[in-house]
Amino acid sequence: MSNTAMVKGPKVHPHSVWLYWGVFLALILLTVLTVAITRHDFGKFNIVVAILIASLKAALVAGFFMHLVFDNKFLAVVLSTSLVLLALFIIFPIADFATRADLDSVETNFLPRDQRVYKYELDHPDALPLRPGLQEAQRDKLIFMGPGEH
Amino acid sequence: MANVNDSALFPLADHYAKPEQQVESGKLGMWLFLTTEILLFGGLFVSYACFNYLHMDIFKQAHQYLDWRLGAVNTVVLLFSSLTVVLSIHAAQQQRKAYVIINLVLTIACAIAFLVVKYFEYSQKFQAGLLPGVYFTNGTISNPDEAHVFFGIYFLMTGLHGFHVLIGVAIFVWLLLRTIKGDFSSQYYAPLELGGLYWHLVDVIWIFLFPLLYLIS
Amino acid sequence: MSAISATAGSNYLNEKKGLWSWASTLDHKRIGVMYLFSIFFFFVLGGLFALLLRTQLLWPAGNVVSAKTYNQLFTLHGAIMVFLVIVPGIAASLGNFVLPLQLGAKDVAFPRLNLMSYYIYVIGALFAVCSIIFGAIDTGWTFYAPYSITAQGKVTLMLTAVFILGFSSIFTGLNFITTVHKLRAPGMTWFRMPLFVWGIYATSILQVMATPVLAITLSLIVVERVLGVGIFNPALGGDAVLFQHFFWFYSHPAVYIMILPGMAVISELVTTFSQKKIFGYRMIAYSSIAIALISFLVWGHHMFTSGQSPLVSMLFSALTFLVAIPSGIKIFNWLATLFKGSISLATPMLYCLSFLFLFTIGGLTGVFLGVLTVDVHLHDTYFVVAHFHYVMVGGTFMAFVGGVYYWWPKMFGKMYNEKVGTLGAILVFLGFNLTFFVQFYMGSQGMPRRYYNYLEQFQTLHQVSTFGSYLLGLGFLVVLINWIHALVAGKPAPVNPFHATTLEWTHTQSPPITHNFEVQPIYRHEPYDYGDEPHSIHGFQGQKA
Repeated sequence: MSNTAMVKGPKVHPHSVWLYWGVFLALILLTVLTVAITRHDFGKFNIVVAILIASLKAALVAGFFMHLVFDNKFLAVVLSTSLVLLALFIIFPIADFATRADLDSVETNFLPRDQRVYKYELDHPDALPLRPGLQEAQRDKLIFMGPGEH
Repeated sequence: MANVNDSALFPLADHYAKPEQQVESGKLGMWLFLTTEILLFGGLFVSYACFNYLHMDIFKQAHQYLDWRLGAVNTVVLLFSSLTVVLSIHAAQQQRKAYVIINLVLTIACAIAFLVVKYFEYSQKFQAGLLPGVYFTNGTISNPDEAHVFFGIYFLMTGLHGFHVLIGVAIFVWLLLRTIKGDFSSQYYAPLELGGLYWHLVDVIWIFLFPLLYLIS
Repeated sequence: MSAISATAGSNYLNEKKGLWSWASTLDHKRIGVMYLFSIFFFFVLGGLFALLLRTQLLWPAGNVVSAKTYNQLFTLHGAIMVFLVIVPGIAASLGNFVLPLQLGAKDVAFPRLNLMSYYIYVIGALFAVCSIIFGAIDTGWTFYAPYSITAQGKVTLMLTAVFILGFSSIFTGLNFITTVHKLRAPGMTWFRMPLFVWGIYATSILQVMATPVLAITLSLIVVERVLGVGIFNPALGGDAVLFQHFFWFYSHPAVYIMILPGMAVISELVTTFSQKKIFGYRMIAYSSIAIALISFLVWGHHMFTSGQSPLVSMLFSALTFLVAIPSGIKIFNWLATLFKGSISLATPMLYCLSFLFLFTIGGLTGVFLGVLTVDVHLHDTYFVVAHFHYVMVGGTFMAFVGGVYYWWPKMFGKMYNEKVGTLGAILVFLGFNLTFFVQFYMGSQGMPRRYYNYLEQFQTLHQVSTFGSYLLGLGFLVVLINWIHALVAGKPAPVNPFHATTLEWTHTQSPPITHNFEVQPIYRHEPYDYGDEPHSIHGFQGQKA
């Protein structure tokens, strides 16, 4: 199906060159801002500020140089979908690392419900057959049980 | 060439009914491809985010070994090349072949300049032993055992990006040759648009790489 | 509805002859057929590996093969079946053939890219075969770090193969999305498209958005092996669980890449073989898109026991319940379509009914595994193995075979033998259940997966499972023989033997001419319009439409 026939092409409506130079100027200014703003320390938000400025620049490139503003809206949907997925891909692993407990901090690894079960078992030694290892546990120390152990 | 508006200069493929349909298909196809590039690089941004989170101090320390001025020059070079790409399409829309050629040549020159700067940056790293993984031999940095993580990510991200710049050079040389040959006109310049879309994405990726790698403080 | 008489004239198969005409074709139908043959070739190869490993498991301490070979067998069975068979699967073969026809288009949006997709598949397959021949791999198809980084064997070669195959998948998806948006026939609005197209469209979204993450994941493993960069390798400062996040971010949507085309086929089969308008067209269409989008939110349910944080595990578990809902909606809509339909138990329908039964089991057991606390016990047991075989084989592969039978008359202009078809379907159904149903029980009793030897108490169940696998193999052999015979000596097929209502049946010859339609069809009616009196299609063999 690679047969082609020569036909008359669609009509063009070029945008003004000044639009493009204007966007370029804005991009340069934002680049200067990107560097200049590193003088200020926003603490934890340094990276957020950097990403925000970069996003603004990217939006200008995508909107005007890549014509998203003027083209079929579905193209913007395509782009947005990929950005949402990228955001998910970044957020969940960070959330994983951020909420993984330190192996030493026994309390945060301890599933709350187990505490009551263990307490019952320790208070009523004849009620249930004791699990191996429970006898060695101290009463006032919570017992570590990570995910996957049973 | 006779008045361009009287000629039929658009090569319409067999399975399309109208030229607009073919042009829009091409754009949609290219945008879908660009999203795959976004997610490909995305994996590296995830690595960056996770390791920055886990080793924030190492990142702060190690990035000082990158020269932010060279990074800034490269940013401006790429931004300018995005402009020249857009201007080349604009010239095609106005049937000004000479300006198409000039702008394409400028784009290629910028891309090569970017790669030359990259070459200098990389040589400096190689000489200082600031290399990824098992090849890290720099002794002056503190935490040499852990600093290689930063440089691993640095080389992966800028390396993959540089590879895409190289491909961009090839694409634009091809477009330049086609322009010289006379393939394009105000009726047909879709390949320029599609090549341009690719190039803008390469630029956008660098827009994010520059602050994340060179400027975190 | 125009009746096109089945002529013995020129069609896409015989118009141009010779190897080069096939190798350089831009015709989506020929490309689909080439994919079909390649995919079934690799299915046989992957299946042989499975039969070998099941043979090893006949004895608790058997040594039919060495332990290392066993690890290679399950790795290669998985890698071949996932990357060379099921992921391209229905979409690349039947999708390529049928999608443009159902849309009333002459071809896909980018025919040259389509051919390139096929060649990329072939090159990837060659890399995979080389990897197998020159030392194979034993990492499991999931390539978990750090073993995949340090393992001996042709890991880099296989990862390169999969990387290449990923691009075949991406380009196919890209092509289909553009085709659906831009090349529909006049009058064919989104909600007049066949549901097969909706299913393939949803699959394509996943192919385009998820596969690049696989590409970067595999590249990073290769870079770690070759350059020692420590992203995933804990010995070099990396994190092995991060690998799992990367891997499953693709591989969970990948399993929906596998099932959505199967569901797409079932929508067609269920309506044609009950001669009744599909129940809940819009819900089925929306549910396909919903599955595609929600599938990106659940990947952590493969990682409940990996050391992932409990908070994130709980989030993923809750989201997993969400993804089951659209699948359930489809099942109910299909069942409602069957209700009071004029049901014909032709071979495609036998596979369709098998799907409905087997996928329900597979899907439900997936929800069981999605429950965080239950998964802690069932993770890495045979329960998981049974679950995914129920959905992938009992689900997708049944739909695949049913779809090939269904579109066979259209693709090749020949009819297959119904009686042999029925025999094959029965053998496959029996063999499949015998193989995998007992695995649910084994898993719940603690039989771990990927184990070369096992405790005595599981022997009987393993033997049942292995016997079942031989029966399943026999069933597929009958199917293949049926197809080969049909190719060579099948009766000429009518234009629309099953009285379907979609464009490929009503407006094209069997097989179609090269540019699909004599005249550009204009689509004026609602989809699946069977009229008030669904007519029985018994006796459809060899009759004209």
